[in-house]
Amino acid sequence: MIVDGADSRPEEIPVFLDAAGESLFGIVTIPAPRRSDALSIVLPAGATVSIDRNRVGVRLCRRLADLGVPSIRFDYHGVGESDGDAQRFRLDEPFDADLLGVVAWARSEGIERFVLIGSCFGARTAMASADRISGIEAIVLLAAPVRDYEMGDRVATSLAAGSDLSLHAHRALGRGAGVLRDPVKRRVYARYVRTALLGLTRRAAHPDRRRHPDVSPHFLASLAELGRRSIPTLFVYGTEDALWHEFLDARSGPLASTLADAPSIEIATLEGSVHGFKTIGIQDAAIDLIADWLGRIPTDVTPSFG
Amino acid sequence: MLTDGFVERAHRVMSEGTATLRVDVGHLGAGAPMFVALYTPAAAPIAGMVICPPLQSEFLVNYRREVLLARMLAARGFAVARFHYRGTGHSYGEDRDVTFGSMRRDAMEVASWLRVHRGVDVVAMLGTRLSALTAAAVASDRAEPIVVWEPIVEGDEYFREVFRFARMSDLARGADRAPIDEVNVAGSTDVVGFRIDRALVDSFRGRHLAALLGDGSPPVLLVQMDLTQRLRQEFAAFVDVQTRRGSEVDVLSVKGKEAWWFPGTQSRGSAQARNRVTVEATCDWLFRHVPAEAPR
Repeated sequence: MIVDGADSRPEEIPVFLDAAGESLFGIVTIPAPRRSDALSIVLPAGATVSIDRNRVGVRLCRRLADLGVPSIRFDYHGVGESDGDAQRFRLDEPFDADLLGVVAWARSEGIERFVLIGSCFGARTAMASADRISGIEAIVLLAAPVRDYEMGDRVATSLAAGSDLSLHAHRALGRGAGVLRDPVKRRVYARYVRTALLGLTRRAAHPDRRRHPDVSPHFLASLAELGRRSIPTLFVYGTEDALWHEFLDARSGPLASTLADAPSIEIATLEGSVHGFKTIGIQDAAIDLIADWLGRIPTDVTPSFG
Repeated sequence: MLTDGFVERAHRVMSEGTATLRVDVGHLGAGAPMFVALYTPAAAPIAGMVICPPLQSEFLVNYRREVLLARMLAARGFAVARFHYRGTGHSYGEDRDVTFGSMRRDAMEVASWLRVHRGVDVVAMLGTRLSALTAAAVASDRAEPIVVWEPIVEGDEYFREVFRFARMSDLARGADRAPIDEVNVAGSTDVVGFRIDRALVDSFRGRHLAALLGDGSPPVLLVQMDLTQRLRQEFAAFVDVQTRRGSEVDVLSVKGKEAWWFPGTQSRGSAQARNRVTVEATCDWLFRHVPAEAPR
């Protein structure tokens, strides 16, 4: 059973927990005193340990503890201290089994209410799993990609999705034989070509959708589910994030009706790039924003917050 | 449970190949306790090893490789302690307090604890990048084997390289800063989202790997990760100095360049291949350099 920390410094307790047969590693941060019964689950951005850049993961959990909110940060299977092997991180294949394993472990500790906080791949994993988790009080989604791609292929598929035929031909001819010799570059370029061809076909069939990115059907379905359940949801992007501009395009297209019907979903932006947390300023701003927003969740939803 | 300064909070038994090992994680030490993961074999350990992690971005890039090495070594009979310096990773403490001195103290504390409380006479050290310098400072005390992965051989040059990289990153995104001036005037700077403090920079001034190892230095395994098999100039110079001192230095060249300041950007396949080669060769070398009197 998780109990309150004994002194003013938040207590941190490492745990091993089972998720789909793999042992995952996590650290629970226990505030003293505790003001919330909901456990915040922090999902990493992808193939990086839960500590994250400049200890963003650690600092976020300790900041939440200052507000009296307990949390857990964990490493996905195949990453950090966890078991297993993770060959790839595709947004249409999120690690929902890992998150569901964390939730099951928390329930075995007597916890029934959750806040999900995920960045990039972690945001998409949180969205994809939410329909199988009861007791979600709120979700924070940082730099959530609206398209599906494999981590590392975002730029290639983004370029391909937005270009015309002559540009693709120029790019193809300009690549040279080096691309074909390198298996990694060959795979990335093949994805670029596939996305480009798919985009050209779709744009020819639907000229009105020319401006809108290929929004993931998984993203759309998850968003609709969050809205239907009226789960307080905060999307956070940086104004310099390419992901934000893709979200903006999608908001005026495929996401428009879903967002219009979901007053529980809020969107916030921060100056700079949230994706990857590549400045200390944006890290601090994101942590402040999350802490502030969670503190403002209506009291009839989370009576113990704030 | 509180035993010998180590507060064990979770443990598990796992298989590594045909061997069984135990992993304990918890915190060690007073003040701001350090995060420690201890890997022990089923039988009494033949020797110990302390893995000193690098800092900042390099800490994230190297993380999994250190975990894999610890598991493999424990499966082969070593007691292995991985830790995070105070003020880094999962440890308590503030990043602004991290210096060469604090890093050396933390590494020595872990090595002493492993020696005394896990019953190992020999404790080898491993340091990657900047931590090669702290690992060397600890290993030289008892002339015990040391492994350095992509070591920094000169502290000043490392920070020059980091600030050059910061400058290039700034230019790429249209910013105009002088990170070195920020460090000197404001006391810290931001390098692609990682905080670099003046105390850290100053504390590594004049630190050289060869000098820290000293005379009568221990056997060294140097691992270079590069696109070419040819030994880089600074490593060749280090090997030359050590050889003239009569120290045994082995070199392993692993093909493939590590993107130390771009965590998560390299393909999983190439990183895993590099990890496997590095970890297996390091295990083999250590096993050969454990003194013959150690029980096996």
